[in-house]
Amino acid sequence: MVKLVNISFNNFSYNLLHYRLAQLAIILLSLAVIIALTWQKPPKNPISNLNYYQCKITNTLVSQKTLNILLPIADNAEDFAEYLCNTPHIGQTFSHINLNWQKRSDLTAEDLLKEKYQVLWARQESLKGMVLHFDDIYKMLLPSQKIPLFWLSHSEYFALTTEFLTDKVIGLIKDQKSYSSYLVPIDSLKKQGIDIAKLQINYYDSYKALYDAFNRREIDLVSGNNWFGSIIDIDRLTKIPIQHQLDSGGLYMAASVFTPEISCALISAFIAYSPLLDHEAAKLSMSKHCKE
Amino acid sequence: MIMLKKRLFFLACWLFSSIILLVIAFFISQLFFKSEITKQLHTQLAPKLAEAFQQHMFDKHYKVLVKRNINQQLAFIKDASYLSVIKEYSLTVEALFSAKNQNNLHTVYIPWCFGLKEANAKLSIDYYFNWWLLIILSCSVSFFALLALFSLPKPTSSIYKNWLFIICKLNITEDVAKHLSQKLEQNTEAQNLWLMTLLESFTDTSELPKHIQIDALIIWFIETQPQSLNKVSQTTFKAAIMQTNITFDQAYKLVKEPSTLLFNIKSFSITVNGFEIKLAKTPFFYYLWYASLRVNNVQSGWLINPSINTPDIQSAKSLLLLMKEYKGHSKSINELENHGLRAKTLDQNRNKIKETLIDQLGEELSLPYLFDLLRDTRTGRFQYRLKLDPDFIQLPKEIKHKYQEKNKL
Repeated sequence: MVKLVNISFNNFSYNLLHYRLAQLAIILLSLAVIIALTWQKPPKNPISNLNYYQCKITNTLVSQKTLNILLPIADNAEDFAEYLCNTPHIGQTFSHINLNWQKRSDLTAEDLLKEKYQVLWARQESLKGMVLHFDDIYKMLLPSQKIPLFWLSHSEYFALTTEFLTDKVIGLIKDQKSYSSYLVPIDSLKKQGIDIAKLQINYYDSYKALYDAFNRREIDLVSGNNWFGSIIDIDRLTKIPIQHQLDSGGLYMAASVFTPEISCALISAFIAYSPLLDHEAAKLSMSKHCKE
Repeated sequence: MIMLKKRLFFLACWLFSSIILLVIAFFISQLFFKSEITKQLHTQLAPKLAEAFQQHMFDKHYKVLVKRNINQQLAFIKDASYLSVIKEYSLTVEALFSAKNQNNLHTVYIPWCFGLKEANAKLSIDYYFNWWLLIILSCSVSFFALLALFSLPKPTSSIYKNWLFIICKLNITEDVAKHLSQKLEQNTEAQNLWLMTLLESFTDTSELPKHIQIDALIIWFIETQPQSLNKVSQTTFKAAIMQTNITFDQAYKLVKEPSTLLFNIKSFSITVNGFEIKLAKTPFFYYLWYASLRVNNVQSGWLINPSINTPDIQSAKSLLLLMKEYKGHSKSINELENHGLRAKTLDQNRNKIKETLIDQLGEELSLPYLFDLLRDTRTGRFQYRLKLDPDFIQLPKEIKHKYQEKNKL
């Protein structure tokens, strides 16, 4: 009797369902194991800085010497660098051109003292504010060029008055060292006797974001210069010139590597930015050392 | 042979499952790898891209420059670990501004902020596999999985349970019973039914003869795999194996329909369904003589017993002919010559035949080889003949011919 009970218990404890469940468990476990074994974390992507353009100078006479240039804008970098790379004079002292661009405010005193960049496009007052005896370290190749600046608006009629601006939103850049989209526009408003604290101002990370907001009509007023046409896709615009003209900054070269040939080549290459500077471009070539 | 077959089956399963696992691992590793890369690029590439366009204003070619810079930095990325399935991969930016329209293992979309707009950078991934590692991994994992699957004990079916129940009832130890039940499970339904009925009949009768071992019977059944079981009745089979001198094999043959009877004149023995029975000389000749009457259809094989007072001379002559030619016992020959065929002698010999057969086969099995009897209406005496159909009786060749010649004469 005990035997029979034992047998029937044994039989009950392991039926087809349990068998199938056990099989399924084994299959799932092996899948989990193979997944765990083949799983891997990809090695870190080596993306570092994207804000540069580098080229090798043709017919260079030296092996590893790079001419580092710092610009405040990313545009036309390739043209500028390629022009220099194909200039024979530079090959005598340098093997590569390395063009960098960053926010004006990112430049540090250390960069200047260590001559991290041999060529700079920057504003004299900010450079001198950073380093004593700046003139001993860097030589000016080109003086600062003036850039005309405007207020732009969607409204057909507008005036820089408190009444008009009460229900308007003004767009500016977060970078408080930006002349074109922060300092100069605010200065122009103050000159009109407008209380800045009472205005509605939105701040944006980049020019692109600023003009996107303007295109979307999230903001009513924005400052702009000659090249806004390529960014703003609205036909009907009203412009008010801002009296205070914008300093684009001068072109400087480290005194330690200065040669007349290189400086002339740099000035010629700077023509790539003439569209920004508009009619002032003609003045660029007028340097006393350089000949056509 | 069975082991070899099992091993080959295991190998085939192994190969098959390895391939399946390989394919799964191949795709899943890419899938996970892609999702990891996507996560990484979200935190790395997206802010870098936004940053790259912060200083940009109007240059239409700038996108190309950014793309080129990224691609230069991403060209080939090696995994330092030797245990990585994907040893190397390359990322290529195809477009910085793309519609999200492809979804496969080789395409990644990374959203990034272009001004206030959401842009999607499209990157393509190429994977370079460490194939040997992948093959080794999938083969070894599938090997262990199969090992586990194969060593899983089989579930018990209802057939198995029935067998176990019956066999255990017949006082067989559990281990043996389980083993036997497992083997019986694989038999055909007809076979199972037959054996089960037989075994059940044993469970009913409490006393089993000592010489019958149920486990041996089941093992015999499993090994011989008897086929035409519809011709074998369980009760006669049971009766056969009850005889101590009959093995299971012989019993099976004996019981199988039809019953056949063969006479061996040289050894004075008969063979019934392959089972040889030795007879005494004189009863053998009587048996053979009865058989020849039946085969040659002499009055349908019937022979009326001679009356007590008048012996049958005619029959004695044909019987004498047989005995003399094939070395019959001289005493019997003399008796026949002197007195003819007497009723008493005939009865005695028939009884001897019966005794021998019953002794060897048991009553039930010997029945088809014995005699029919009928009372002759005219004389009031009994007449006898062999019960067996003449088609299944095989006489020695020589005798057959002789009788046919005799009858013609």
